[in-house]
Amino acid sequence: MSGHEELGQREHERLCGYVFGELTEAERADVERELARSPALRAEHAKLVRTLEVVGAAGSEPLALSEPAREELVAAVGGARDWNGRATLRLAAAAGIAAAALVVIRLARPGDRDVGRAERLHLADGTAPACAPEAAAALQTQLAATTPPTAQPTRPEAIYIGRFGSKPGVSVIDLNSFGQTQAPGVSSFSGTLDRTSGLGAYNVPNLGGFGGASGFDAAGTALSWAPHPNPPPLVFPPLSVTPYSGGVQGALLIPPLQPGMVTIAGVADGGLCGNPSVVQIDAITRMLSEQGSAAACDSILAACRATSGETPRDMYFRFWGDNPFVEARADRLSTFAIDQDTASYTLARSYLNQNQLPPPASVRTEEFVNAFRPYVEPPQNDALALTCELAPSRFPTADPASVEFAPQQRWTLACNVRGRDVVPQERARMNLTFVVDVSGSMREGNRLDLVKHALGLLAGELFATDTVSLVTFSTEARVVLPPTAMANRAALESALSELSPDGGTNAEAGLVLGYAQAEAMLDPQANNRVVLCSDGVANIGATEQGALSERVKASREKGILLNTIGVGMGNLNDALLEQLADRGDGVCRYVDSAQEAKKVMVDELTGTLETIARDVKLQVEFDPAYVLRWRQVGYENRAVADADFRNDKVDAGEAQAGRQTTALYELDLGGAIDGDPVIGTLRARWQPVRRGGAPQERALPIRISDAAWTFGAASAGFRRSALVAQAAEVLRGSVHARGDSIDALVEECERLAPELSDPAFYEFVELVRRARELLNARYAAEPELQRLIDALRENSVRRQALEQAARDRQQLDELQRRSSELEAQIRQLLEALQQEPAQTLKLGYSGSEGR
Amino acid sequence: MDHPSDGELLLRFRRGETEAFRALVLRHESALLRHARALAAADRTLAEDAVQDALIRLIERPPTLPDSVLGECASEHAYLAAWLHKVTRNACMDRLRSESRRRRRENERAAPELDVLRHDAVEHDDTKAAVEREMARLSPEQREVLALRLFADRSYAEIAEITGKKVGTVGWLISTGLRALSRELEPLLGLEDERAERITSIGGRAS
Repeated sequence: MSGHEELGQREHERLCGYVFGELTEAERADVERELARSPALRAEHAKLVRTLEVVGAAGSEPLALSEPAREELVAAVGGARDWNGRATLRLAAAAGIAAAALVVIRLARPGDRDVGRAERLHLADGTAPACAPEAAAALQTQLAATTPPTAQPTRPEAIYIGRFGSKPGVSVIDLNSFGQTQAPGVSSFSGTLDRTSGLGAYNVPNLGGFGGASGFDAAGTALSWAPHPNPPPLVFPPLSVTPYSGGVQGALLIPPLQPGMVTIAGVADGGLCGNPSVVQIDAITRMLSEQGSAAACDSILAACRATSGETPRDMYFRFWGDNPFVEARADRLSTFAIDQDTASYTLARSYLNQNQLPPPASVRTEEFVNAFRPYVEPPQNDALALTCELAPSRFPTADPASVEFAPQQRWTLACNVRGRDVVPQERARMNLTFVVDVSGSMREGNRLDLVKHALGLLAGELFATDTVSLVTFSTEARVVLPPTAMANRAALESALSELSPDGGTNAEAGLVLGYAQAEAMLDPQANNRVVLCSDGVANIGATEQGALSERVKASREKGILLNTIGVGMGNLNDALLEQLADRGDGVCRYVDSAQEAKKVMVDELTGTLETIARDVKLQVEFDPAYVLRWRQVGYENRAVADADFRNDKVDAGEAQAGRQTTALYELDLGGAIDGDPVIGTLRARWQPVRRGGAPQERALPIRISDAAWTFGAASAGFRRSALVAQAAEVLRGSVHARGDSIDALVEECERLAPELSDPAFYEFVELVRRARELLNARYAAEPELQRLIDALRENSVRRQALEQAARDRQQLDELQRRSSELEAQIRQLLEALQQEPAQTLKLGYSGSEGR
Repeated sequence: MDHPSDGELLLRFRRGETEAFRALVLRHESALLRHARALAAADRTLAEDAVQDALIRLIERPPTLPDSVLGECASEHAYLAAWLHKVTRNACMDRLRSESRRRRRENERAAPELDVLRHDAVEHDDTKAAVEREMARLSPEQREVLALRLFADRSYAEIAEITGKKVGTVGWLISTGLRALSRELEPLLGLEDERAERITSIGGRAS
């Protein structure tokens, strides 16, 4: 470390300006005079220049695009016009992995040698909203229109079916989330590796083709397959792309693959975004060739057979979040930051109330579960209380009523953390700065009125000693109310009455000014908080988002927290609001109605605004002697490295007074359970609210005696959490959730509702009913073959379950008969499809969940 | 062969001369890739894709150089560079935006591990790797403006235009970024305080 006094920031900036020739003549002369005078400045100058040399030398090698990429571009010059009609597949190497192999299926199309019209292949993650049916329809028209008249009927060379995990499921990819087409021409898919992704089963309705794949074997060794070192361009025949409410469908054609983990990312031209899905391919069956379509048919049917040990639960809700099942022997620790946001649930509610399914990516299971009122008793003498409860999982068999205790079956574990209640009188004084968006977009749907209403309600709840200031922003920011003690409540009310929406959305300016206000009235004894109310449509770029969140973070360190409240819906950029709240150690709430405004601003007043513990991390340790495998439900983006549990520098979530956080796990128990063994331990670690206090840690053993023997015997709160989590998972994109299982969910919810007698839960049940209708409408749009195959597979597993139970002969016969029918229908349909020229097989398989 | 100006190349490529386009790409690609990599952090594939997006945009909707810069080689280059950097930036942002949330969480998880790595690694790794590592540890804003300043040779004002930031912010980011680099790379600078002090105090230009 330098022995010199640190150069001030301004001086250093000036020095940089000097070095880069950015100063005026006069400024330059100034700096030179000072350089002559000050050894410290000279040392700093020398260091700067040397740094520039070292950094410059390290980056002196020119970078270049890959040769093929550049040539593709060059070839496109002058050919921009027919850009959209053609597809070539470009190698999309996965990030950080040197040799992602690309393999290409060739759809035979004699005579087509058109190379080099680069189609842009876009990779993106799952925030893309679902594709509008019109877009998909337009796409189909476009595809039809661009069909070269010479196109020959084509038949795929091969169709392969991968199997999931150890089960003879089928590799399944959901194109549902690949929706969003900005321009028509969905034509290709390419695979990239991603060893970090969890395992999630997706549904493939149908997919235009499969570009390539590579992956890792179980030992983590990279596998790559490259039948074509220089993949020939892939030109698709007119694809039969079937629009459905979630996106587009096509047949799955994949090249020979080795077993391994494969991420398949949706890529296509014209700005289509996709959600990378991960499939586990354990075994590959050659399905269809030019010669053997009968054999292909047989293998499809074979793939529909249940294998030993497969239960109907594998058919339902197979996609339970992105968190994979983990073998407890390999990893006994699950560590994560608590999350008390509920914005995701409120958003989904708004969608459903408008008879739309929420975008799957917007559904965060933990936010659904935590959106309901606490059911665990608050702690008496501690900030947080820990409890846990164990009960059979909701879907161990087809019939939830017949759940019986068997240690080997699947269990649901709920870990609850309940924050201490703070009675209003004892809370710390509040120093609130409201930063309110008054941009033109706040006029829509009376968003600004909602904010004014909420702030009016809040004003009524604050104490005379609390201080409020109010900053508004549109194109520019201004202080509407300087820090004012709420003894003068009327000042706030009159300031509110004058707000009207107009202009742009300069959230940055608003926050900067808001923080200036907050810092001016910073009181270490008070609860200092900035509350941003916006519809989130800040017209600022992602880097500014980054700069903004840095600023939020810096202020948090001074003791100013940030809450964000999203108002309105549709164009809600809740990623930004959530990120900011996260950085500011606050919570993000979403307000869509006066009722919700009251809940957020008044009922949760102490909950939303009073932090009782900071950086709360939870860790569950499973004893592999009893827990074979486990899977966390939700919290995908809240994971913390196991080793960081006791690293107090790692930022985690804040616990608010009076709120409860529930984390759910699915467990497979095993081993010799007798007596009352401790099967795991729930630990919580947090920082006290006052800076400088010692970190707190509590542990709670999880005992088998915590278990309820049937789902129905579990506490109402537990059942509520499990049902809400299931509903969230359905909305997250499990198209596998067939009508009957969501029926069961609705039924169970209806049973529970009177017990809870919570209006919020009644509302939830109504939402699930709506979701059922919308989902059923979506299934109806699925291709016939897909439906038949799914039905057959479901039959098979049901039959097997019945056979094992050796009961109900009649039902068994009925299932047998139905299966034969389905098989016949599938054969017939496959034959018909084979006869049909220029038609890509619409094959989709729902496999059992990977593990 | 002489070096045609960017404006001339642009004109020729608009007439369909592929070689002119190739020349433009070769002229700008390195700076654009550095810019994109700075934004995309470690994700080089994303960076390359973003640059290709930008170049496709150049093909599809090439900019028209304003009269004010025409005929002046350096101005033409600066104008086109600023345009390309802006488009690259937007492409990068589009690709990053959806990933940013997930990525941030991952970065936060990764950061402490980097810390552990750093101290012994600095001694063993070569300078280039150390620089790259430290660049990666800067904020994306810092990385971006530094890439534009150091590798694309853009002025503060141009960087401000490309990134939509104020010139003052650019200066601040460059200064804080370089300070962080100086601090972290100190062992590699071969510049102990005393020695630097001696050199500079006898009037030698430290360079």
